[in-house]
Amino acid sequence: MSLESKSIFQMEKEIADLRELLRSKEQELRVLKECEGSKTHLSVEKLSKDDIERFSRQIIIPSIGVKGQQLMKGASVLIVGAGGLGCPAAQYLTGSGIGHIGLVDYDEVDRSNLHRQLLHSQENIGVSKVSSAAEALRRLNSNVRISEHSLQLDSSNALNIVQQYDVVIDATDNVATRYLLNDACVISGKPLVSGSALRLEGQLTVYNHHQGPCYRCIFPKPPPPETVTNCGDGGVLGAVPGVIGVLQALEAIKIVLGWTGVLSGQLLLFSGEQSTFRNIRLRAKNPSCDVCGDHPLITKLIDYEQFCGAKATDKESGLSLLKQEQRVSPETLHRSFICKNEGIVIDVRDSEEFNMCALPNSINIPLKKLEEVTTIQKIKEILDSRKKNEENFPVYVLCRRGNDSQRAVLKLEQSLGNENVAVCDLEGGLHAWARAIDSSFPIY
Amino acid sequence: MAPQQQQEVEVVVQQQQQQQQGERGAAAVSLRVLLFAGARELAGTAEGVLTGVPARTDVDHLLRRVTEAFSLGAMSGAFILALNHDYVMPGDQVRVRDGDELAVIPPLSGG
Ligand SMILES: [Zn+2]
Repeated sequence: MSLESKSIFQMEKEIADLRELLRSKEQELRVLKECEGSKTHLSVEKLSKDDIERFSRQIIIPSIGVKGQQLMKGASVLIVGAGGLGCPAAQYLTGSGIGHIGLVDYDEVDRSNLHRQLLHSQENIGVSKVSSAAEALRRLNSNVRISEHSLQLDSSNALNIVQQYDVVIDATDNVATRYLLNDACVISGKPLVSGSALRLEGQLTVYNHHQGPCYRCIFPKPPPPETVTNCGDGGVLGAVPGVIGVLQALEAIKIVLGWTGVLSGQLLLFSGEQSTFRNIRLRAKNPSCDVCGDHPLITKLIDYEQFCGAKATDKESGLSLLKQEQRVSPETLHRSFICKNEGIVIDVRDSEEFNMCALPNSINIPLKKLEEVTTIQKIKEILDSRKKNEENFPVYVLCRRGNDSQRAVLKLEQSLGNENVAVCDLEGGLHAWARAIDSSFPIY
Repeated sequence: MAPQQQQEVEVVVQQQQQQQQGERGAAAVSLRVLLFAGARELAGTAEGVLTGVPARTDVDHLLRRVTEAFSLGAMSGAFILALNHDYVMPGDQVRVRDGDELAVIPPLSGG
C-alpha cells in the first residue's frame, strides 16, 4: 500500500469513527430531550410556535385546519420497509408533522439501494437502514418521534409492534411479509396502506379500513414463487416507487384526518411507461375470508414463509440442485478457463445484465432461451468448432449468484446429452468470482 | 369457434331467453385484454385481444380463456380480473360488449 492510500484509508476510518460517535451523542441528546419534554408538555396535541410556522401552508387548507394538524401531531404511523417505498413515505409523513413514526427493516444500506432509497446517503453504506433513515428524518424535523425497529418482522414480533401504531404502511419487498402484515393488521384492527413497485409499474390500495376488504379477500392464494419477480432480479426505476411511496404517505394522512376519499376497496395501477393511473374497483370484504371473514380460520399469526413457499426477504437463498462434482469454484474456473483456455463459458443472465459486466470470452445465452431448439443448435455449432475430439469438454455455466446457473445445467445436460461434454456451474456465481478472483468486478 | 364454446353459448341463450327477449345472446365479441405485473411477463405482452367471447358468459369462462390465450397457467388462481375497471368474481355471470377492457392483475410485491 502506498503512503497516500494508507493515509486516505486512515482518514476514512477516523471519519467513520467520528460519525459513529456523533450518532451516539445524538441518541443521548434525544433521550435527554424526551425526559425534559415529558415534564413540560401540557398537551401533546397542542401546536407550538414551531408547529404553526412550519405547517402553516397545510393548516390554512380549510379541510385540514388547526384541528387536522393536531390530529396529525397526535397520530402514529408504522412504516414497514425503509427502502424504495418506505423512504419517500417516511419523508412526507415526517414533513407533514405526523407525531410518531415507526420504522421497521432488518437490512443494511447497500450501494444498489442508493438510486431509489433517497433517505440513505452513500456514507451510510453498511449502516442499518432503520438508523440511517431515522437519522435523515430527524434532520428534517427533530420534533417528530422516530421509533427504530431494526429487525426482521415475523410472527413472533409483528402483533406487538403493529399494535403500538394507528396506521400501518406496507413498504416491504416480498410476498410472505405482505401476508404477515395483512393478518397482523386484521387481528389488531389497523388500516394497512399497501404499496408495491417493480420496473416501471406500481400498485396501491388500502386494506382493512372501515370494513373494506383485506389482502386475503382479494388474493386468497399466494402467487407461486417462480412467478414472483423482485426488484433485485427485475429491476426498478427509482422514481416509480417514489410515486407510490408518496401516495402511501398521502393515504395514511387521509386516514389520520378521517377523510372519506381513502383508496379502500379500490386498486390503483400506475404505469410509469404510459404515465397512466387506472383505478380498479375491488370486491367488498369477503365474508368467507380466512382472516377477516365471519368465521376466520386464522386467528393468530402463522408461518408465512411456509404459506407462501418463499423467504420473507427479497434475497434469493442458495439453491442446491446439483451434485458437488457438477459445480466448480471460482479458483477452478480461473485456472481452467482463463489460464488454460479450456472449455467454454455460458453466461445465462439476461442480456441487459451481461452488457453491464461479464467475463471475457463468455457467451451470453439467457436462461429462458435455453428451451429453444435454435439456441441448442447454436451451442452445438460452437462446440463443434471448439472441442474437436476431446472427451468431457468442459461447458461452464454461470449467472449472478449461482441459482439460475444450476437450473441451466439441468437443462443443458438433457439437450447436450450426446455431446460428450461435462456441464458444470460456477458455484456462487459472479458474486463469488468477484470476491475470490477479481475485486474490480462489480457486485450488483 | 370451437364446438364446445358454441355449446356453452347456446346454453346461456336458452337460460336467458325469457328475460332477454329479442336480445342476440349468441353474438360473440372481442375483448381488449390488458396484462399487468407478472401476467405481462408470462404472456410476453402488455396487451392482447380475446376473440369469440360469448356476450353473456361467466367469470370462470373468462379466466379459462385468458389463462389459455396468454399462457398464464403458472399463476392460475393468483390473479384477479377486472372488466371495464370493475373487479369480477369467479362464479359471477357477466355481460360483455365488443371492445370491453379485461384487465389481468396479479399482485405486485416488490418495493
Ligand atoms: Zn379478508
